[in-house]
Amino acid sequence: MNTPDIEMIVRGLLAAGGLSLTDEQVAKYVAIYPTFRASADRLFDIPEIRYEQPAPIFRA
Amino acid sequence: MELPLTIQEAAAALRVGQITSVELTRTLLDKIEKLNPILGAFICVTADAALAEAAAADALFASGIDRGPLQGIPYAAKDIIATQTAPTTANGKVLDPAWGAGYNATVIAKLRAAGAVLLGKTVLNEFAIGMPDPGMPFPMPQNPWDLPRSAAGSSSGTGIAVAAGLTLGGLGTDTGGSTRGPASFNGHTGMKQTYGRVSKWGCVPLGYSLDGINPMARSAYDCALMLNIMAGYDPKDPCTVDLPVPDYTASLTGSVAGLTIGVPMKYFFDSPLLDEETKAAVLAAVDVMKAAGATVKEVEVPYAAEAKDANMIIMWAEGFAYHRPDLATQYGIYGKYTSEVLARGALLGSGDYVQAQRFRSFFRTEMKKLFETIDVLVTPTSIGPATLRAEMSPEKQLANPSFTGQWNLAGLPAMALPCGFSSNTLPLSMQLIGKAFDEATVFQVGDAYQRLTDWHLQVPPIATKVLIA
Repeated sequence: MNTPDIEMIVRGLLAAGGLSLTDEQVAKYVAIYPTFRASADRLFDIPEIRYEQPAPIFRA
Repeated sequence: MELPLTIQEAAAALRVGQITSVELTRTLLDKIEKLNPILGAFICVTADAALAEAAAADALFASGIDRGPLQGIPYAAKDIIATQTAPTTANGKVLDPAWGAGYNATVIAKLRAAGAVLLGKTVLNEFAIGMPDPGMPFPMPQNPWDLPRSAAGSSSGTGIAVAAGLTLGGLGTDTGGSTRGPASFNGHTGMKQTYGRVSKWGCVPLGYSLDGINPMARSAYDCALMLNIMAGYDPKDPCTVDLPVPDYTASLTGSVAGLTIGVPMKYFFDSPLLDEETKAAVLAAVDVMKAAGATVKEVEVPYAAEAKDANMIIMWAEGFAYHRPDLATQYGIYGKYTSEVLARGALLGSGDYVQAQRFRSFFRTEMKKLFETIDVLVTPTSIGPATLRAEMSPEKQLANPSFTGQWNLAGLPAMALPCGFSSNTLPLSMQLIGKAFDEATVFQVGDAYQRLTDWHLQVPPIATKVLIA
């Protein structure tokens, strides 16, 4: 992803979250987004959890 | 008489008539009055209510009623926990003033029933996240060992108050290290018990599935005394677990003989960002326990970095769900670092949250297997001693390794305790982690170590200098 793509994604995610922020505020999220995204993506690369159940369990 | 340093000492002094609860409380209130303008530990001091509670405790003693070791003991509560005697702000301007008004959180009610004396409400990182913002109308927390340095967070005020002797004990909360970080930077003991062991009812949430309200005090023994009262099932908190609560002081034998201590060198000791003095102090503490009869073995915590990430993803997602309506309408009313960090949750997808929870199941199972071979794990609590506030940023917090969030993710008990000082006289801290619901062994090891050392009894010079002046 190049920077304009990242900025577009971040602006979209923040707007979808109901947040209307200044350019200066958005820039902080644009700066961390690649690292942030990579840390979330890394959890999908762990073979041991391919068929793991999530921790929260709902008991009716 | 000299003011007792610990709850254990004060409880003994109260019972032999060396001091009354009113005298103890009044002395601490005087200390708070002199030192709080410098240290920024308390948001609100409830002096009249405290003295009334102290007088009630003394009246019980006088009539031969003893509700246990906390009767007459002054303590402080993080200002994110509901208390009848004072409003709750969460260190911010966003929380509805009606929230928490007129009632006590379950832990406060339990401590009150045990005769403990609430001194007031302490400073925190707003809503237990982010960093202190000097632009907010709240005291700025200062590290009592070196004022320009961080007192860590988010339970900074309780940490400062315990270290500087403004209180004998206190309450923090912990979602990724918020009790243990302040214990580490300020130089005292802080216990994050097993998730579900203590009711969270009456506390503003950050990460619902990670949060805990925790004891903070000078020693492991004192934390055990507090947890004895705080622990237990609460129908108001569906996350609490209905298991018997042992007497945590019963395990404090002073011995570690026969126990096996795991040392995970990978990630927790081999990071280039880990301060050398911290590493040396924690490994020296391991040697102390080995000399005292413990068996030490090197172990591995698999996917420790990923566990830190998973903990943060869950915390951001759950925190964002709680704060989204207020962030949408009052982003600029929050402290600048609070809104900045809370809104990170908007960048996550639903799949990210579920995947972090799937990883959590796996990690919990892996830790269960690891603890079949050891009794406790030892790690540094932080990557180094207290940092200068001027050098802190949310981005650094994100990038640095963390040694605490993994145990919120796994729900395991984890205690921070002092293990030395840096060459520039800042406290260093180690962390002991135990099996789920086995706080007793963590306390046992911590207490045994503290019987052999006196790092936890050191008081920052400012606490005495200002009083003498």
